[in-house]
Order: sequence, then structure tokens, then C-alpha cells
Amino acid sequence: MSNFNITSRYAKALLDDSEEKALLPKVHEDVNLLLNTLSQSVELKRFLKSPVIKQEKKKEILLEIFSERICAETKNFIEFLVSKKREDLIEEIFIRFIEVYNEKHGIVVAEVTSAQELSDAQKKELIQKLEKRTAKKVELKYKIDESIIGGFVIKIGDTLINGSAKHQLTLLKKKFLEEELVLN
Amino acid sequence: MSVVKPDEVSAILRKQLSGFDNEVDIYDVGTVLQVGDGIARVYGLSKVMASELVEFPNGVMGMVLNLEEDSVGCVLFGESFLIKEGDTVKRTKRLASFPVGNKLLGRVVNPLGEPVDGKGPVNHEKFMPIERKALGVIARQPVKEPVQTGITAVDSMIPIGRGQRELIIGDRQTGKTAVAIDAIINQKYTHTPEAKEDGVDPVYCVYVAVGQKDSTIAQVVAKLTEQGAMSFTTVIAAPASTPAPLQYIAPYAGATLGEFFRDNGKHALVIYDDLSKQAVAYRELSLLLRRPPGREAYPGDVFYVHSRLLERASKLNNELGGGSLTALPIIETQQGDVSAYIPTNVISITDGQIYLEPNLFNAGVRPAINVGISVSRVGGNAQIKAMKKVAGSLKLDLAQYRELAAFAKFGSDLDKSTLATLSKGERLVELLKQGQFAPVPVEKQVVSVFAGTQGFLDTIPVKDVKRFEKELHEFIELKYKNILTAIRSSKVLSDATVESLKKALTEFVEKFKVD
Repeated sequence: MSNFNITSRYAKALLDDSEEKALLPKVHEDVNLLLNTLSQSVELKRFLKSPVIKQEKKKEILLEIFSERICAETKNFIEFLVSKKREDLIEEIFIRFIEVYNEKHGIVVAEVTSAQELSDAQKKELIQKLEKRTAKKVELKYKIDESIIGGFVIKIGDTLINGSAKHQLTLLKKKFLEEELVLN
Repeated sequence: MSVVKPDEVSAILRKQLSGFDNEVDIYDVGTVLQVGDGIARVYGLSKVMASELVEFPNGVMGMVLNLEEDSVGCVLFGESFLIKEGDTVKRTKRLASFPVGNKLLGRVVNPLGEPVDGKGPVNHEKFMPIERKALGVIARQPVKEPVQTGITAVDSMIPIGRGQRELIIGDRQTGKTAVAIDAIINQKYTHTPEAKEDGVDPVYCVYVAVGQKDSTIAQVVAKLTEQGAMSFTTVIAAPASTPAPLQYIAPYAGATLGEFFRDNGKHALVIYDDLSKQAVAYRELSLLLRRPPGREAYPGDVFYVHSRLLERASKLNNELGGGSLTALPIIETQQGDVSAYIPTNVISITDGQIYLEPNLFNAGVRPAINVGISVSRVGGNAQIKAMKKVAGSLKLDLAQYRELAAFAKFGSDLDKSTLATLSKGERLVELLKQGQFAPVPVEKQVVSVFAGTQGFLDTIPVKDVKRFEKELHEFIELKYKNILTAIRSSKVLSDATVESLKKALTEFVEKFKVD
């Protein structure tokens, strides 16, 4: 967590620079692509974190994988990160970049957990309701968890909107335990 | 044996269910990053307030102490093994608070207000935050009414006023707690109808036990109950077995309860026993929260910990009801070292100190108060006039005695006046000795001190002084009760009273048999 300062600085630098050059939408796309690749490949992550492998080698391989698909701005940034020996933080920096980007553009990411897959109509309604509530653009991520039994749990930032059947049962249990049962 | 019918049970369940509305619950959460040693680091909880209560799984509560850029440091009020990494932490949106109300009198509770005396739930009126800002200048007025401790040495020479902060300091085993407990027991008088007639308002007591043995606390509670003092007293217990965070907040909880009485125009006496242990508990949790250590490894704000607590003692002005909160903090010194960090801090904060010495204690002078270096900076204004009149010369006589006593050790040639001073001093010291749990009402204290300073004891052997005092009180109560009533109700020593007191004393000295 002490990397928070470092990642923020690099992420903001990338954001400001690409915005100045009017390349922000493209860079944002690139970053998403990079993050997706990283999250799918454990080997790549391990490779980047490894202190044994030389910087040049890392740079070479990174460019070989991505250079076809990303713009010059993003490429430069990766080269810059490697030259600053921050390639091990690449994922954190990109995650932070997305956070900063979302903050700037008034986008919030909400994680919706439900017991069953939501229908498209439900999803649409949910987005509308949430956008009204937060007064921001809402991007939804979906998750299925059968243990919540029914209803849904929405997590926006640190706030939890808990409408799951499981939570209701916990509350009910608490209530029963709180009140004294007087049998007469 | 009564039988419970199944449909009865379901009827009750249905009744409870009907009041249950299944609305969507919205709350803020965080995730535990690290836990151990009674501290949890939490990620998230972005809108949490400093010193807010947070809820961990398994019913463990915590308090937010550190707000950092990317994490929140919480102290746990429960066992840390009940919590693991990745657990969800819930905000309560409630600052750490303590339940207050008259129903807390007579109870023993922990610093969160949960009863620990097995007498069932506490019916509190409301919750008040444990950390409150002390009142400003405008809301206060000078201390003017006395808190009678029932200890002659204290009430005559180191008087305590309502709204004062008087430190009780001394080594271990010198009777610090005994002084405080005597002070509580003596407040029993203020709750009687006679006190009301004399214009003495009742004093409600709060005894905060920090870092003590459970057995000691049980003893104190038993003693207070036995003496009938528990009906107007609340004991807040944070014994040595409780986690450091609870020990740290205990005095603030006590101050909050005291403030409840004060703000309702009543008078409260809060005893913090003892603040050195609280400082140690605070040091423990500060170090665990990685705050930089300073002198004696205490964190930089340990002075503020005590100053903001003791600054809450106050005497309100009459528009605000004229209530008061008197604080009697206790500090334990190591080997009489008052220049250690915490003792000097607390000495500088309080309005005076009662200094107890092991030497005196072992020499049989009990309470072992060193009257030479004990002071009360504001209590003099609160002392009743009668006591003020007789105590002036008492202080002087004792000071002269101490000065000469050092010389007298070399023995031999002492002139007559020196011998007189010495013998008077010896008798006064003897007079100020007092048993535990035997508080003396102020009017009797005045009579004793008067007898001592006016030379009525000079012919009495030192070993008989205590018996003389006891029998004198009995004699005056029987034959000259009007003297006692006059002092108690008028609070002054008029010329007429002095005359009759002198007459009574002369009469009694003649009657008193020396064996």
C-alpha cells in the first residue's frame, strides 16, 4: 500500500500528458487492453516482477507483445516505466490510471452481485436508478454468488447497498436475539 | 411445569416479524488488511470519522484512531483472534459514546457502558460521545463550594472545591485509593435531608478503575456497598485484563458521565484511578499504531491525553445551572520520583496535589499526606469560613514543627519555646491521623483543629490524643450540640461560638482522664 504515492504520480502523468496530446480515448483503450492481458496471464505478471530478468529483456518482450496493438503514446510510457525501473508496478499504475480516469470523467464502477443472472431489462433499470442516485455515469460489473440466496448486493466505492435475502435473514436473527421473548 | 404451546410461540414470532421491514440496507464498508495486537488496519471506509465506532465480524467493536491516505487504523475493543484478514468492517456512523442517565448510579459498567455486575441491562437515558470539548471561559465560574473529603488533613489544609482538579500522587501502597474512597463515602452526607437544610447539594460519584486487578475493584465495590455509598456512585471498570484501548477510553467515559450530572445542574466527583496506567495503555496502542515514540516511549500527545481529560472538570456559571465536575486523578510514582514524565505532566495540569509518602505511611501517619508539599491552588476559596479561620494557624504550626523537628534529632539543649513548638507539632500530627473509612464531618473537624491550635492538647500525652479527640466529639455532641449545629448551618465561627467552644474545651480537658 506504500506504493500508493508512486502509482498515483505515474498514473496522473500519463493521464495529463495524453490529454494534452488529445490521445486520451486511445490511451484509455490501450490501458484496458494491457490490464486484460495482465489479468489473464500469470506468467507475464511473474516475468515483470522478477528481479533476475534484465530491464532490456523486459522492454523487448513487452514491446513485442503490445507494439502492434497500442499507440505510440502508450508505448513511450511503457518504455519510460521500464527505464525508471518501475515495470514491477505496471499493473498497479494502470489500475490507478483507470481510477483517476473514472474520477475525472465522473464515472463510477459498481459491482453487482446477484444470485442469478440479471435480465437485460433489469440491468438497464439498475443502471438508470444508480445513475440517478449517484448523479454520475455508472459502469456495472456483474458477479453471480448463489450464497446470497436472493436479491442483490451493489458495491459502489466503499458503500454497500445490501438487498440480499441472506442479509435480511441476518438482520432478522439479530432482531430476534435482541428482544426478550416473554412467554406467558 | 408449565407447558409452552407451539402456537403461542409462533404467535410471538409472527408479532416480531410484523415489525420487521425488509428494506434495502445501505452502509459503508471496508476490508481488514492486517490484524494483530489489538489493532486492525482497514482498507476502504473512505468516509469514516476519527474516533468513530466500527463493527467487525463476531460482534467485535473497534474505534478509528488513525486516518491515513490509503488505510484506516482501528483499535479493537475485543479479541483480535476473532478477526481475520479480508473480513468486512462496517461503519456505525456513531462516535465512540457512553450511555448516561441516573439509572447508572449503583452500577458497575465497562467503558462502553455494558454492565459487568450481573444486574441486568442498564436503562440509560441517552448516549453521549466520550470525547467532548472542554467548556470555554464564558461557561465557567470560579470554584466556590467545598467538596468535603471527610479527611481532616485534606479539608483543613488542602481543601478541594467543586469543579477543581486535585491530583492524588504517591508510590504504590501509600493509600492513594483509600483517600479517594473516603472522599466518596463522605459524600453520603450530602444526600441526606439535613444536608439539604444546610444548603449542601448532593454530589454524585464516578469511580473509574483503570488497569487494576479485578479483585481490587471487587473489593472497592464491596466496601462502597457496605458503607451505603454505592447508591450514588457508578464504577467504570477497565481492569488489567481488558484490552489497552478500553483502558485508554475509560477515563473519558467517566468524564462523560460526570458531565451529564454537571450539565443537569448537579455536582459530580470523578475519580480516575489511575492515570499512569491509562498513559501506559495509550503508549501501548500508539506504538502499535506506529506513532513515533518520544520521552519514556510515550507518544508526543500524551500530555494532550491528560490535559483534555482534566480540562473537562469545571464549575458552570449560574445561567447554565451551576453544576460542577470535580476530578480527582490518581498518579502512581516509582520510588517517589515525581519528576518522571507523566507525574510532571499531570502535576502541571491539575490545581494542586495531595502528596502521599511511604515514609510517613510506615511511621504510622495515616493518611500519609505530606502537608508540606501538598497544595491546593483554588480550594481555599471554597473552604467554609469556620475551617479557614482555624486552619490558618494549623498550617503555620506544622511548618514550624517540621523545621525544628530536623534539628531536634540532634537532641540536647533546646530552649523552652522550641520544646513547646515541638510538643505542639507532635500533637497536631497525631490529631491529623485518621482511620480508613472513617470520615469526619466538617463541624467536628473544626472542633478538633480548634482544640489543637489553641493549645488545649498541650497537657495531653501524645498517645492519648486520638482518644481525647474521640471523647471530645462525643462530649460536645452530648452537652454542647448547639456548637456543632451553629458551625454546620452558618458555616462561620462567630465570637459567641468561639466562646462556648473554649468553655466546652476547658471543661472537657479537666474531665479527661489520662491513664
